[in-house]
Amino acid sequence: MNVLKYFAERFGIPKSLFDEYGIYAGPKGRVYLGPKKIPERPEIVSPGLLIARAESAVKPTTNFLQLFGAHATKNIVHISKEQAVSYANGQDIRIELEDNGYVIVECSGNFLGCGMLKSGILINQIPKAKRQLVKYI
Amino acid sequence: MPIPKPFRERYAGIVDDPGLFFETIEKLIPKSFRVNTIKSSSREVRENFEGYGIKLRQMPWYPDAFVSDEPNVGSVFEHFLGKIYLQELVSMLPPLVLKNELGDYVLDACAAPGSKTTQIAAMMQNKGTLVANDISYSRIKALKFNLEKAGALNTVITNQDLRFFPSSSFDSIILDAPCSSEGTVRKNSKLFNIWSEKKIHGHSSLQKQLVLKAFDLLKSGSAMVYSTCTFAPEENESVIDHLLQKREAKLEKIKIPDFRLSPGITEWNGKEYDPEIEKVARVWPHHNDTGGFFLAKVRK
Repeated sequence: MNVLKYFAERFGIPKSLFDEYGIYAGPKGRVYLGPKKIPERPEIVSPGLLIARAESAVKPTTNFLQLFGAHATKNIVHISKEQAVSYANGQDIRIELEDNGYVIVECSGNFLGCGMLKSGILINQIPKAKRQLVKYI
Repeated sequence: MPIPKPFRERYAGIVDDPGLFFETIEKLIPKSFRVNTIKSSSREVRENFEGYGIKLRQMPWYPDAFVSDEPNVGSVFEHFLGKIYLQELVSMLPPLVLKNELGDYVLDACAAPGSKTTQIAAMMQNKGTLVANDISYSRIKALKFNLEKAGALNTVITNQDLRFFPSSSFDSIILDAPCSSEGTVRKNSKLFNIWSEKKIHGHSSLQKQLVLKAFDLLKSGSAMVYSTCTFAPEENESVIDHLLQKREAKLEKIKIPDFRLSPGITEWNGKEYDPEIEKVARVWPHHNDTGGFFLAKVRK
C-alpha cells in the first residue's frame, strides 16, 4: 500500500508535503523518507527517516508523527499533561473513545507520536528506547 | 584521578594561564543543549523553560545554544519531543564555522553519534543531501536513533572507513576526527586513567590519512572543517601542517563573534610548522568555560 496515500486518508496529512523528498523501501516493509538525491556509492545503511512499516497494515512511526502531526486534521487524540507524562514513559492510557486504529497522540500542541486505540484504551506505541521520565511539562 | 605530570608538562608552555587552565579542567562542565530548529525555535524553548522555572543562559555567539541551571535537563518534555539536543558547546562549533557555505551536498565524515550531524541537517533546513558516515557499525545505531529523533529528512547514513570512501565532490565537509579527547575531561573524569602520549601518536597518524582523504573528497573552491576535542598538537596543528605539505590547501582564519578563540601554535617539540598554521583556532576551556577544542578551516 502506498503509505503517503494512507497518511492522507487516515490523518489528512497532504501528500504534497513530501514532494521535495524521496520515498525508499527497506527490508520488512520499512518505508523511508529521505533526500531525493542519494549517492550511488558507498552503500547506504539508512536512506532517511523511517516513516512506516507497511506489511499487512501500515504502521506509522512515532518519529514521523512527531514531525508531521501538526499537518494532520483527523484521528488525533488529545491528552492531558498528566497523561502525557505517563505516555512518554511507556504507559497505556484509558480513553473514552470508541474508534479503533492508529492515532496521533497530542498534548497542548505537542505531538508525542503514535498510539493504537482499541476498546477504549490508548495502547502505547512509543519505542522503548525513546521512552523517558518527563519531569517538566 | 589527579592531572598526570606529563600532561601538565606538555601544556604548561603553550597555554596563556597554566594555573587557571589546570584548575578549570578539574571542574565539571556546565550542562548545555542546542535547540533543534527542525522541530522548534529558541524562542519557544526559552519560553517553556521559563514556565518550568529553569534558568537558561542563551549564548551570544549562537542563539540556538543554551546553558542550563538544571543538571537533569534531559527530563524536560522538549527532550522527549526532540526539540532540544543535549550537546557540548564546543561540539557546536564546526557546523557553525561552515554555516553560510554548507551547500546542497555535505559530508559529515565521522558522524556518530550525530550531535553535529543533526545540527548540520537543521542548518541545511532539512534540504539537500547530507551524508552521515561512520566507520563503526555499532555506533551507527546511536547515529540513526539521534537523526530520526531530530526529524532529519535530508540525511543518509553510510558505514565506510573514510580512507576507502569512493571519490566524490562535496560542497562542504566536516571531519571531526577520532582523537585522544583530552578536551572532554570535564565531563569524563576517568579520561586520565587511560591517557598516554603513545595513544596521541596513534591518533595522529590516522588523522593525517583522514585529513588528506577528506580534502580529496571536497569540490574545488569549497571549504572543510577539521576538528578534534583534544589539546595535543600532534593531533591538531601537526595534522594540518601535514595537509599543507601534501596538498594545495589554503587555511582560512576562523572568527566567531563573542567567542574567544586562540591562534594555533607554530612550533612543538622542536618542530616548526608552516607559518600559515597560526590561522587555526584553539579553544582553551578557561576562556569560555567549555571543553577543549581545535578547529581548522581549509579551502580547496
